[in-house]
Amino acid sequence: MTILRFAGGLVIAVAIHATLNKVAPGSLVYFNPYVILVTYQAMRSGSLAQVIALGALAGLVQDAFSISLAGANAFALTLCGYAVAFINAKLVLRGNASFGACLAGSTFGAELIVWTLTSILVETPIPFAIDIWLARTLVTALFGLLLLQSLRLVLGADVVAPGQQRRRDW
Amino acid sequence: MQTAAERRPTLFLIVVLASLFLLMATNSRTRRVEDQRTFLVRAVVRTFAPVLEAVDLGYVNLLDAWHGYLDMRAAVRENVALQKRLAELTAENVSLRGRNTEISRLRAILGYSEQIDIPATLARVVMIDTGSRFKSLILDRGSDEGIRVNDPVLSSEGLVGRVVLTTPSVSKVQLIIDGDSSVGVHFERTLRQGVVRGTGGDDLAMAFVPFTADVVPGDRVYTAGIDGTYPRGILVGRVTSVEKGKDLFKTVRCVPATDFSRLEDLIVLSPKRLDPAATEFTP
Repeated sequence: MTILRFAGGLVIAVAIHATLNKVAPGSLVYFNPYVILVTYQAMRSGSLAQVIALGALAGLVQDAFSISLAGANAFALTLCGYAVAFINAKLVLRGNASFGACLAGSTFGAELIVWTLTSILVETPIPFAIDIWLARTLVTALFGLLLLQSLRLVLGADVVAPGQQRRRDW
Repeated sequence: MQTAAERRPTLFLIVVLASLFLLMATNSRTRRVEDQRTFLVRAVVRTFAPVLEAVDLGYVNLLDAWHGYLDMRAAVRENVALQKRLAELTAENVSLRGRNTEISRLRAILGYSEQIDIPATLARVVMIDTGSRFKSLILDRGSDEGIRVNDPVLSSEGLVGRVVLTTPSVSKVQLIIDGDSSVGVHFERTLRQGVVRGTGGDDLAMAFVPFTADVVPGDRVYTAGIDGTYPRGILVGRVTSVEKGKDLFKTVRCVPATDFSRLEDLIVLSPKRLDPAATEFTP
């Protein structure tokens, strides 16, 4: 079920990515749908290994549709997903605020990781544009929260509700 | 049952990150971002191709619908503008047709007066009275324009009457259908002379047509130039009926050549300034 849900989310993320590319080219500088998917999965999933695998997969898909260094986004999302899942398991986070904070941290962290990797590995690295990163973090976090509220309305339950069982497992 | 990755997630994370770093390092050998399109990336693109195509199709359809909507709005605006333009042109056309009719009428009147070759004044009817016993009309020209009492008045169709009163700016005209009006006439076909009198109605009566005169309905009647008022040769009317009258005369009824219900521009002749050699009118 988790895999199916993730696959659906990934298709939606790709659709949003492609639509934004067509409707408003360049708008993806301020928005990252893949981070929302990975963060949501990290806060909901009961398996750390699963979060790592899904983060890598989502990052590879993002890499395929962007011109950044192939694997950089996968690396960043894997690391961010792992970090969110780990923190969430330890602190048992709940509600919108925690999700927003995790999402913002993931977005900004992913940007920082990608920038670091490209600076190391590529002759023409992406510029250090912290203002754009912050804007992207803000927009992505707000959209993610909006999405979370929509899901809560549709599903009628707290979609980010980690249990004590998962915490003991980790 | 847990897998090896689930039992040792940290180790699994290290393996995945190492693999991804190896991937990046391999792809960055060229040291150029644009060249990094590996087999894995192509596979991902191929996998999500239906999603991309669906988005593209949806976008194109949405764009078409939006452009269709914009085109429809533009067409509606253009239609409104064209309808407005059509209304303006229709009004202009009606106005031009009216002017054209007026020009034709004035040309006819002008041509008529030129045929008569008598000094003439063009005047417009400002009031007409054919409902009462006295049939008359008022013209917007008077003695200041040289109009005098007894000047003949005619339309492009024929004789209208004579001036009976003038002021500096207007003139009053007695119509030939007035009961007190008399005009010396002759028949075009036989040149037999007579007198046309107004009946007070819409038609005319001819007096002094001998019993033996050759008159038939349809004969046209012209001024004879024998009464000292009207010059010879102006169309007065057409015979409508001929009956045996009392004594030695026939009862002849005529219909006026002029339609008194739609008079607008008339000609006032001034026979006093007339060249005596040019009084003959040939219709």
